[in-house]
Formats: sequence, C-alpha cells, structure tokens
Amino acid sequence: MLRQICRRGRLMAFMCDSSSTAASTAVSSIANAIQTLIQNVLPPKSMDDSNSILPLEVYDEIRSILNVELPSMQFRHFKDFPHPDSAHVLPRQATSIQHIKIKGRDYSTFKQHQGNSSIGYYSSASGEIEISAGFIDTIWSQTLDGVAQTFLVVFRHQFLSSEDNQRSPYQGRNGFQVEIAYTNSSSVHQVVIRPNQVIGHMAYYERPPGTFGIRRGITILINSLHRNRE
Amino acid sequence: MQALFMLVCTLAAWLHLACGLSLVATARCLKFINIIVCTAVELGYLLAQRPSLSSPIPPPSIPPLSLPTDVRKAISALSVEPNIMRSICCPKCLAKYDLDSLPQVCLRRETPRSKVCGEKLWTTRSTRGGPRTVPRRLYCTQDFESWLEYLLSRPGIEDLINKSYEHQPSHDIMHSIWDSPAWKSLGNYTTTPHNLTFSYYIDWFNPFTNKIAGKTASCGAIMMFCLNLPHELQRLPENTFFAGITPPPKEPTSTTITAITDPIIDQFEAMWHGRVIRTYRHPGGIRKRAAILPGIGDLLAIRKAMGFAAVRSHNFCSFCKLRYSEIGSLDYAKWQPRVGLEVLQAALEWKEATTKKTRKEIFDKHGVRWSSLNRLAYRDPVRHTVLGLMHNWIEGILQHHVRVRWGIGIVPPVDEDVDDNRPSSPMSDTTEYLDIDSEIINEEVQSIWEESQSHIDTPSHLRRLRSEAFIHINAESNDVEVDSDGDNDADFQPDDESDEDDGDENAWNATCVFTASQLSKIHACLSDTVIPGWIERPPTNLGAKSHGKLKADQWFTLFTIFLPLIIPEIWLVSSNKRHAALLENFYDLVTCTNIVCSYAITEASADAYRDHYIKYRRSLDQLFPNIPTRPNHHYAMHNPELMKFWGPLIKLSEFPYEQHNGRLQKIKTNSHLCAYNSFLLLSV
Repeated sequence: MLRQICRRGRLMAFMCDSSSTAASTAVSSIANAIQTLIQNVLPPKSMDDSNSILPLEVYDEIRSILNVELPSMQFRHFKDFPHPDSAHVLPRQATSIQHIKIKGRDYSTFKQHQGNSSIGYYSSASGEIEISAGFIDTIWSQTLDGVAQTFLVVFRHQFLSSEDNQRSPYQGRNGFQVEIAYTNSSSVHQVVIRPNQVIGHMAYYERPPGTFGIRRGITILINSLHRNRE
Repeated sequence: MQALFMLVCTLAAWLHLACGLSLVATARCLKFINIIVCTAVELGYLLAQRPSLSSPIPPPSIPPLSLPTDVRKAISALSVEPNIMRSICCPKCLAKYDLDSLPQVCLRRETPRSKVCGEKLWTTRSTRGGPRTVPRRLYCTQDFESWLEYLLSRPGIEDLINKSYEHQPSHDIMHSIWDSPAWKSLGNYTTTPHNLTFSYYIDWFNPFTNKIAGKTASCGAIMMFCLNLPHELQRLPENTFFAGITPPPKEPTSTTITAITDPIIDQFEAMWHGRVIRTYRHPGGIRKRAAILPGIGDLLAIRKAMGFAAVRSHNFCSFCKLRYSEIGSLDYAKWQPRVGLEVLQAALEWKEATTKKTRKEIFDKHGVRWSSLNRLAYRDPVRHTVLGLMHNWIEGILQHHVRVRWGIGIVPPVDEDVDDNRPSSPMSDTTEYLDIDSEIINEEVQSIWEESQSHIDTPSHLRRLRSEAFIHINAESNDVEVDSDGDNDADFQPDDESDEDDGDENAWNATCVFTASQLSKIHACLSDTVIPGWIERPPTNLGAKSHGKLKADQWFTLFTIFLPLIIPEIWLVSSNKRHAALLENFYDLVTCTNIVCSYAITEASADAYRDHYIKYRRSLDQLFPNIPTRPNHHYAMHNPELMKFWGPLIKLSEFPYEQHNGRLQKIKTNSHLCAYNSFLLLSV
C-alpha cells in the first residue's frame, strides 16, 4: 500500500514535470500536430459574428475603465473619426466567452450556470469601495496591445431599502454573512467589472413576497463562500 | 521510438496506479495499445515510403517496435520506485527486529521489570514452492532522504520553496502559517534557506473501506506536508511524504505506538542537523535540514501519537490543566495552561520508570506518556500540537449540534403547535437516527473490546466502552461520571469519521426541536438554494436514515450556507421565546464557524470568536440543560489562542490528509494486508 501510493505520487510528478521528459516532448509534438490539424480542417471564426460585437453601452464602459487603468494609452472611441496616426482606438470586436476561472474557481454567465454566475464583487460606484452583488450576464475578452483583457458584464442586485432592512432578521447579525436583495428589481442596473474585483460566488435562495414582512420577493445571498481567501 | 515507449509506459502506469486497474487488465490494455501503435506505425511508414511511378523504390522493412507488455516493466522504466524500508516487528507490541537475529518469540519488555512480550514472531505460509516459515508481521517506512532527493530534483520545486524564505509576514492579518508566531517559534530556522519544515499527521483508516458487512481492520498512515511549499501545492500526492503505514490489522496502542514512530523520528532527528541532498539546482548536493512543526490528527490519534491522555481522562486537555469534572467551565482566565517543558519532564519520568505501576502513577498525575516526537528537542509538545479543525469543530461541534442538540434525525412531532419545552423522552423504537448504524458501532465495539483484552493496558470492564457504544449496551448504563483515577484512558477508537467524544447516551434521549413542517422547509431550502458548481449539496432529505453519513464538507456547507438561509425565517415567525433563544444560539455558532474556518485571521477575529463561542456555550447550557458538555466543547475554547499562534486553522486542517487516507483505502490489496515480498520468502 505504501509502495503503491508513493509510486503514484512519483508518477504524477513525472507527468507534471512535462518539460524535462522525452515522453512529454512527444505529447507536446502530438498535441501540436492535432492543433495544426484542427486549424486546417475547421473554418476560422468569422469576426462578423454578432457575438463578437460589443453592445455600445458595454463598449463605453470598457473604454472608460481602460482609460482609468491605462492612462498612458487613452483609447479613442471608434466613432471619433478622423483618428490621428498612432492613436489607440478601442476596437468594438471582442470575444464572448461563457466561462472564466478566477482564483481557481469557475465563473459562468447566467444562461450557462446560475450558481456560477452569482457573485459578490468590490465596487467603487459611490466613490468608496463597497461590496455589491449580481449575476454575470456576459463575459468579454479583448486582446489589446498584445495583452488579453477580460470584462464581466454584471446585472447588479438591488439591496433592500433601509426601511425593509429593518424587518430583516439578518439586520445586526453580520456573522451570518448574508445580504438581501429584491428578486425582480424593476431598475436592473448593468455594470462592467474586471475579474480582480470579484470576491467570490454567492449562494442564494429566493423567497416569496411577504417573507419577513417585506412586500416584494427577496433573494437571500450568502457572502461567506470566499472564506477571506487571499 | 523511445518517446513512444515512454508514453505507453506512462499510460500503463497511470492506469494501474492512479485508476486502480488490475495488473491483468492493464496487461490487456497494453496488448491493444501494441496492436494499435504497430498498425498506425506500419500505415504511416507505408504512406511515407510509397514509391512513385517515376522512381519505384521498394520500401525498406519497418524497424521493430518494442513496447511494454507488462505494467511492472513500464513502472520500472519510469523510475518511479520509492525507497521503502521493510523491517520485521512483533505483531503484538510492534517491537522491531532484524531478519538475521529474529528470535522465535518477542523478547521485548514494556518496562525493565515487566514480563517479556512472548508473542510468536514466525508463521508458516503456503507458497508455490511449498510451505515456508516467514516472519508474521512487517512494517514499512519510506526513506526520507531519498524522498527528499526525489522532491528537490523536480524542476521548479526549489523556487517554490524559496518563496517561503522571501515571504514578508503581514503584521495585522495572517493568511498562512508563514505569517504566524508558530513559524517564528523555531527562531530563524524556518526563514533560513535550505531549511525545510514539515507537518506530522497520523490517523487510522479501514483498508477494507467502511463497508458494513465487510472485513474490519485498521491501518495507520503517517504522512507529512512540506510547509515551505505554497499551501495549494503541499497537499498534492507528488509533494506528500508518506512516512509509513502501521501494520494491520490492529492499530498500535498508546504504549506500542513509539515502536512505530521511532524509525520515522530517527530520520528527522538526523535531518535536524542536516544532510547533503542532491537537488535540481545543486546536482552535486547541498546541505538541507528538516524539522517537524505541527502535529495534526483527530483527537484520538493525536493524543496517542503525542503521548497525551485520552478525551475522557481526568487530564483530558492537552492545552490546559483543567480537570474533566470542570469541563463546563467557561472562565478561561482561570485555566492553568500546560507548559511544554513540564510535559517533557513528565514524559521522560514516565519513560524511565521501571515498573508499570510507577508509569501509571506518573500518568495519573500528569496525563502524559512518552512519545517519540519528544525526542525532537526543538518541538514544544503543547504549543506544536494542533487541534484538528475538521474533527473538533466540523464533525464534533457542528454535527453534535444538529444530531444531539437539535435532534435532527429523530422523527419530529407532526403537530405544528408542539411545545418545545416539553421534557425529553427516551428513545423509541420508531426513532430514526442520522447516519448512525448500530451494526457498525457494535462491530467496532466488539473489535475494540477484543483488542483491549489482548493488550492489558486497557481496563477490563465495560463501563468505559458503554459511553461510546450506547446503542449496543445502553441498557446497562447508569451513570456517565468520569473515573477520577485516570483509568478511563482507554485507547478507544470509535467510528473514525465521527465526533470522537460524542458518546453520551443521554444525548440520544433528545427530541427534535423542529416540527415536521419546519423540517420540510429546511428540506426545501436544501433543494432549492442555488449554489456554484464546486459546492456539494447536502442531502435534501436531511434527517432521514437513507442518506447515510454526511461528509465533513457537507456539515460545513450546511452551517455556513444552507441553514443560515432558512433558520431565521423559521424561528422568526414564532413568538416563542425559546425560538428566539435558539436563533441567537445558532447565530453565535455560525459566526464562530465563519471565523474559525476563515483563510485570514486577525487578533480581533480570534477575540470575536471567543466572545461568540462563550455566548454559544452559555445559551447551550440554558436551552439544553440535560445534555452534558463534551470534551470537544472545551477544546474549541482553545481555538482563539490556536488561531493567534498558527494563523488560519483551516490551512492546517485534516481535510487533505483525509483525502490521502481515502486514496490509500482505494488501493487494491486483494484483501491481503500482510504483504510478503519474495525477498523475505526466499531468504528464510
């Protein structure tokens, strides 16, 4: 038993240390050959695909984020003709992706997996850093200046009003690490965030109108899944 | 062709070692692979050498292909063979012997004035060459130096280890052991390059898995993680040092365990002074040192390994000198902490005592025996012993709260307007219990009873076992008082996954605090809550016997995700004062769970844990006055000081080690646990 488990560990190490083994070189060459074959056989993706065009409001938000993050670049709007020579024009084309891995966890769009799309994130909309929550609607990836940039379009939850919050049994019990939002908010607010703003997933449970004496339907969100990981 | 050969070898070894495919099945796979590869090569060769009409050249013959047909050859070609050291040991007292001078019976004496063990050391086994006389029991350990050489010869490992030396500890928030006072407790050892620090874990498991009607046996795995590696890489099988597996079928007792751990500690005693090890960056060799810092395990295993008294002894705590009779005390300022030097002194006295009687007196007084780990002079036996978070908190406190305090698993009252202040009623025949299988417990009790009788170091009366085996013999039970003479320090090993101290029969007289409709609300919440894909949903029929045992991870998610979503709604609608108190009690428990299982710890969070935990304990006593406090409840009082010393306890929890135990359990042994290699059979 001891010999078997030790052999297993060493075998896994052998398989992981790919760069130094002849076998892995063969694996890499076979993988490359398959990749080439796939590229030759499958038609290239059309850039005219509707998924590849950013909605204008998302485009505007991405541009303002990038101009804050990368002030030296100052991306111009694609409509701002004429563009001077060597200007950085933010392309409207982007790749829509369904899944992304952040800190080892899978995040998805709402259509793909509701649980994986429910997130808590840091937001600075009000000027101060605060915790918000929402569902990931779409995920976009763009390669700018050779660097892949990812953006998450999130439908932000509307937390309870202060009046309704008073009715909540979670009020004053921060140790539960629970947030409550209205389930079908009339004013759905869409925001664009970066992967590094994501705190973690939020499990949720929808409750009918009247719960805790609150007239509207509510969603109870658990904000402890991240467990304060670095 | 060599690359192809290595690929096939890797595949065969992976099928056999990682996927558990048998030797025969793997050989069959290899035959198919041979045929497929040969055909593909032949086809490719023919296509490549196809003669054109203009210059017809006959194709040369195909070079012969040599692929492995046996997995043993494949494993041998990959050089993944560990250096396993086998020794002969006495089946009873586990004393080590050399093959060259193996006597007929064991001559070891427990103390200089004790009788010799006298256990037969030889047996006759049938082999293909006829019956042969062979040693009865073998003990296998892995050579640490050769393992370290293997680890450090891997590209990139040294760079990852170097990160621990370069780490700048955070002053206000601890994210890992690297930020903790524990890391500095060995002076500048841990931060000096080429010094390695390991955790020490020991636990027992049933190699036949936990099948109800299956064979029962117990194997002990001793394994170590290199704490200099980043946390997420420490746990990988390729980075884990599997030091040894105790010889089955029975686990060592608290006095024989030193025979098992001595060979391992011998190696670490030498490694403290350093050895020249060849590494990837230093192929000519460089001096490396190794030390053991935290001792980790469940309550029973760690007590046995570290030489502390068991959970129901009057010296039941390894952190303080509180007596069992004071177990309910919450006035932690009055508890006298144990001091490492005092423990070492007492352990040494115990070791040097010449009679069992003297040893017993020392043990009764101090609650300490000798442990092999005491030989590592740099270790503090008190401070460097970790309370296993998984067993103490998750499978101890949380599971106990649901099963015993709330009584989930007991058929709830149908009536909505049930009076929750009603007196407890005895267990009825119709009662169903959450993941309790009386057959398993009875079998285990029987096995342990037999074992305890074969080793005279456990008491010969049933009273001790009764507390753990309430279902089997609860008709005989009358009291739960603790024997103040220290006799009840049996090395009792209940279900290895359960809360070890959860053995009071009074607990099972509880009634369910939830009505049927309230339970159905909980079930609906368990079913309808939307969770991310990586979380395993607990059984949606929580409380029904059919779902079997919950895993520690499921208990944890139950308390941190699912129950906080519905319990406030259930108890808020009631005007019952008891429900309000139950909600507050639950809130304190969830808050403590969120803190103690957090990956970041501050002084303030540890203090907040203490405040909430004391509130929880007080309300627990008021809400459930008839249910006594368990040792786990007391141990959890020490969590704040442990968090402040070690940092996030979740990063030192038993979870990854238990996963390794699971892997070990799945290794196919053809139900033969006492493996004899051909070397031994031939050489005798």
